[in-house]
Amino acid sequence: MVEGRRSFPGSAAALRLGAGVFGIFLVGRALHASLSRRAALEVVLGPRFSLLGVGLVASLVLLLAWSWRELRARDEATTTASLLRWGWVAVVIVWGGFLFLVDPYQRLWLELALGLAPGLACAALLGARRWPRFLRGVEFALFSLAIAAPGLELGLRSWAAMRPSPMLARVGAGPAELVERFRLEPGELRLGYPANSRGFYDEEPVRGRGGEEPRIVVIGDSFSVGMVPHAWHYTTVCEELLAARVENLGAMGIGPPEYLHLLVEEALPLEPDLVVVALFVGNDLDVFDSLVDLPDPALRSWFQRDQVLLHVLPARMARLRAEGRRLAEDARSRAPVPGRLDRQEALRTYPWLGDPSLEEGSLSPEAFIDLELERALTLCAQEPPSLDLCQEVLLAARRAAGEIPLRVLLIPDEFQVEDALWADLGARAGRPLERDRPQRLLIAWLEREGFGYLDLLPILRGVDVLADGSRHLYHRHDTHFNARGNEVAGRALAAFLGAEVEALRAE
Amino acid sequence: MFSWRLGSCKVPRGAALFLLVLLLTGCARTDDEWRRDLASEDPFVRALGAIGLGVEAPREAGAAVPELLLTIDRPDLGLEREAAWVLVHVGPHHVPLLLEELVTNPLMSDDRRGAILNALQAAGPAVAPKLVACLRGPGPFLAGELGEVLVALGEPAVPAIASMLDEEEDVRLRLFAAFLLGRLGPLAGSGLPALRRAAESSDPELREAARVAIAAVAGG
Repeated sequence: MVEGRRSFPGSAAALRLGAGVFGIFLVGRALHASLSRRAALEVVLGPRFSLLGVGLVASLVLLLAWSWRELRARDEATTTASLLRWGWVAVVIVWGGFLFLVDPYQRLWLELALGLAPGLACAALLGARRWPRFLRGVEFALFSLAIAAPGLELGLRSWAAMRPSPMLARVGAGPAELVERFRLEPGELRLGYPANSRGFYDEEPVRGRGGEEPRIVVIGDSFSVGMVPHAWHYTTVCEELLAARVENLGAMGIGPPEYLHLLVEEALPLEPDLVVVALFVGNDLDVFDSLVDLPDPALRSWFQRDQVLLHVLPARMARLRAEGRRLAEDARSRAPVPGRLDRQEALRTYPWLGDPSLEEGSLSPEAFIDLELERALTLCAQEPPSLDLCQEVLLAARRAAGEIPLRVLLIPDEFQVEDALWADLGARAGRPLERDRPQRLLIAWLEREGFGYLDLLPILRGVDVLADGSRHLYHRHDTHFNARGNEVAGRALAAFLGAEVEALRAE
Repeated sequence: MFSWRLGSCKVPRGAALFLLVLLLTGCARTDDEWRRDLASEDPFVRALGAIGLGVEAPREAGAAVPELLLTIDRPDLGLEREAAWVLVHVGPHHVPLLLEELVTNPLMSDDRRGAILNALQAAGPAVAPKLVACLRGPGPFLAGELGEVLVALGEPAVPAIASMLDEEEDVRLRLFAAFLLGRLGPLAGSGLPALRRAAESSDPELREAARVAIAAVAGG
């Protein structure tokens, strides 16, 4: 054996050897990942790519320096306890840094970040030799924190599993970003009515249960935004008939995963007496779920910030406090909003509100038929693709709502209501279609699971046809309710909720 | 001087640099490897593959275009802006794909639509006849968007726009061409002969539109 070199007898030495090899594996893997995808990473990371490269090279150098020193050291080799402590601290620092800096989680980002961990640990181990007294205190403090943070997260998760609550729900960032992208701008005028400060097509929300008037929150997609002025919207119609407050929360282009996000982040903090999830059968059973089948679900649950309660909980509490202050402020200083049309002005501006024959299509006739045909084929010729997802979301929503009753409103597609359109689609489909298939499947499941629901399909079909043979409940070539459709839906919803609202009022 | 000392070893500097270059080039993905990434089950790997292929070989990156378009609408991947940026570099080589997407997907997001229009504009004057062909053929309902691209292309797009004035089938296209030339103003000088012919048309609406355009073009 060469003088001055140290052999590795015993488990402690084997552990150090193993740590060195594992460190080289992590850094090598990160370096390879960054170099092999350099062209794309330079676009994605910009100047940060160079920083990453420097960090990984530094990590490799530190690791080699520590390994070199371990090989040469005789009596001052790193103790097993110190190695494990600093190793764990490095992992937790990478975890915290990852949560702070990286969003959303991707396996590649984690590989790159883990390449930095050996460097961090080795820098500390080398430093511990040089400044032993100073770093002993730091080691103790950091190790305590590194034990406490994951422990606290585990505790919160256990608590959330035992006692589900909106504060501890984990709903994912994808839906949040979609809602942010598609909600209206606060104050944005839509058909003569300004979106509220949250970007929803309604008045400013009111928070708190147990007030004089029962409060209901309706969550939905573009049907919540609507194609009619606010006074004609089905939630407004329902609100007036019930003499209760009906908050309307929704955004264009969203689906069940986003409804869950809206429920947890926006509806439940308002402490409503009742929640209604409005499912549009036409597209809510065929949604793109970005979280399904994503790789690494276990790692994702620890490294994606919206899945980590230590990150979610403080942010949620801060938002609630700010929201409470803002709503109180709004209640004190509510001023008339410029640009808002009253009913008479709206009727003059939008004469089609009173006469569906004046409606202009939002889509070309060809695009409208193509869209409806696609929906019919997706929903009525096979099992709707996202039925399972929709069911999972409803179950999660009911869990998150806890004691607050949750009801489901089923909004049919236009082809299920207008017979001429259905006949046209049937001729084009080229295969058998079952017109009510989505409702049949969904209602059987809702009943099995004990959900209260209102199916609008028979109610809309029961509306008399106009002179041209159509019911005219949907805006022309648009797929959303027109004024007539909103009126029917609002009345039906009011009738459906009437008894519950009366019971709430009596309480 | 020409070597580094590493412990007791001397490492020739040239050899070290050679190894570094070898490492950098040896690790880099080939176009085929980027293409294989496009078939990955992981949507992030697919998106990164599309970006990588788009950067490395924009002319051969037709297979990456659909993935780039999807990535623009996927906030869960966090690569929306990068995908839109790469599309601008890839798109000019794959204009038919972009036009097909515009024609067949009328309900796409504003972000995706904006990225496609940016890519079409980045294609330069050569794209103008293709835009006009699309307006004449499957995409007359895209007049607003494609018209903006044609106007943004400026003077080089004038011959293609002026050719729409000779469209005999669809008077709306002729009106639209006159409108676009008018919007281009003095830049559309080479379109004046076609406008003057249109000003003598039997269609009163077209005559009026052509006269307004001529005034805008000639009057500066």
